[in-house]
Amino acid sequence: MRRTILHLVLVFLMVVGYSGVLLAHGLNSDPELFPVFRWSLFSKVPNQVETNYGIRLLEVHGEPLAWGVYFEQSGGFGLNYSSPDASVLTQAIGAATTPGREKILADRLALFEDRFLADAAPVRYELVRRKYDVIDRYFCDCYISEEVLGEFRVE
Amino acid sequence: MVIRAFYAMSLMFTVMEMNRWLDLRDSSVINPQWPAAWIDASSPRGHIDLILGLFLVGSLSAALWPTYRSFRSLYFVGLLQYMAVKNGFGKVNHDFHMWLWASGLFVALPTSKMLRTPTARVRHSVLSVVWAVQVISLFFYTLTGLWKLAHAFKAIAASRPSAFDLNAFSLIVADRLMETSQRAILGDFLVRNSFPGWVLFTGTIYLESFALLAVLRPRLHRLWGGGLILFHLGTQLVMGFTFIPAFAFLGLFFLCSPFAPDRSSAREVVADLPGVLLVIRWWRRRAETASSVAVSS
Repeated sequence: MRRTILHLVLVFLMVVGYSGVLLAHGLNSDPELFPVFRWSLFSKVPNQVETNYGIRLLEVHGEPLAWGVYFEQSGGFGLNYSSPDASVLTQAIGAATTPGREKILADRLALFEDRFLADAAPVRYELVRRKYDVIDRYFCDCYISEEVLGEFRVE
Repeated sequence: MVIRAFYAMSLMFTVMEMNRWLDLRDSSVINPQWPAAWIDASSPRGHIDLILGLFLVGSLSAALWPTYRSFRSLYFVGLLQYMAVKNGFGKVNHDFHMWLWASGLFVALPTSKMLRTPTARVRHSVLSVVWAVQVISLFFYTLTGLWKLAHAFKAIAASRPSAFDLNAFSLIVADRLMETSQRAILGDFLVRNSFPGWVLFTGTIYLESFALLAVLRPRLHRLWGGGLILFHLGTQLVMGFTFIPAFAFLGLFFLCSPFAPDRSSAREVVADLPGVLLVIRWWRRRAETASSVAVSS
């Protein structure tokens, strides 16, 4: 009986400890404290009209494209275009465009270029902030507005 | 048996992960999680090779000799290091998270000597560790559900779309599929038709939020295991992705739960559902009050 109670207490402490680490690290802090994940998955419902960031390719393998192609639509170039990691990293890059975060921006761009663009080098691309209606964009791939934040090149 | 199956599946997942190893070895820029912060970031290949070797040896030895604590520890350290590297590219994935915590807890299983001649006390210890694995894994699902509820109430307070809105799931599915340019079998259908999505999403929030309660009610283990497996199947059908290890994990620890009774009636299971018992008690109290009022009058 005493052993059962001890085990129950240990399991309870494990759950409390996990929650404590989450709270101490900050529930909304980014990045998460590995391996204590928040488990906030698909918690936020997008607004009908959303704004996010995209990587738009302008030149692939040194060849200029007739029109810019967003990375998530670049399947024809043999890139890992459907990677959720690429999408998350792109948003992290966009979040680092605020003044005073230049070093973080450079690190994240280098990570993206190495992991997702290296196979298409030399590449020229731009970082775009885009505003869209979620359902409209799903069906017509159209945007309300697109603003270029910067242009970059990978040799 | 559950533990042997766990380590056999661990080896299977390690082999499945090998497809990614070439890309990992070719990485020249990496920002590993803290357990692998010792890696030389300027030239990571040698250290990544070492981690991959450790992970493979740990997986193989734990699958062959799972009763040895040293091999279980080796697998845990290998998996921790591997995940620290694999998640060192700007995003943390959660597919092996439950597996990692289970392997960490399994280090606490009794030693091989004790397991060879299992007394009642040793069996009790083994079951306690298995129960701890069940608790921590369903706690993660509960966290996911509570986050959805917290964000829903926050959104309502801010007059923004919340998880309770009829078109909430359509918006989530559309946004997700666009960001990855993926197609999913039921994706288009649920973007166009809000109501089935609302039913599925509300059911998921219930299943996730009360998961921790379900672990305390053994009659619900198989139901919750099956429900969560259906949820993971649903993410594949609707959003084009899923956590493959979760199927094996839920199957092992909940469909094959050592605590679940061999037989239980549907009525007992329904009465155990979170919220149902509360409603039954409230209903009975109401009926008793009504009958006592009738008698006194």
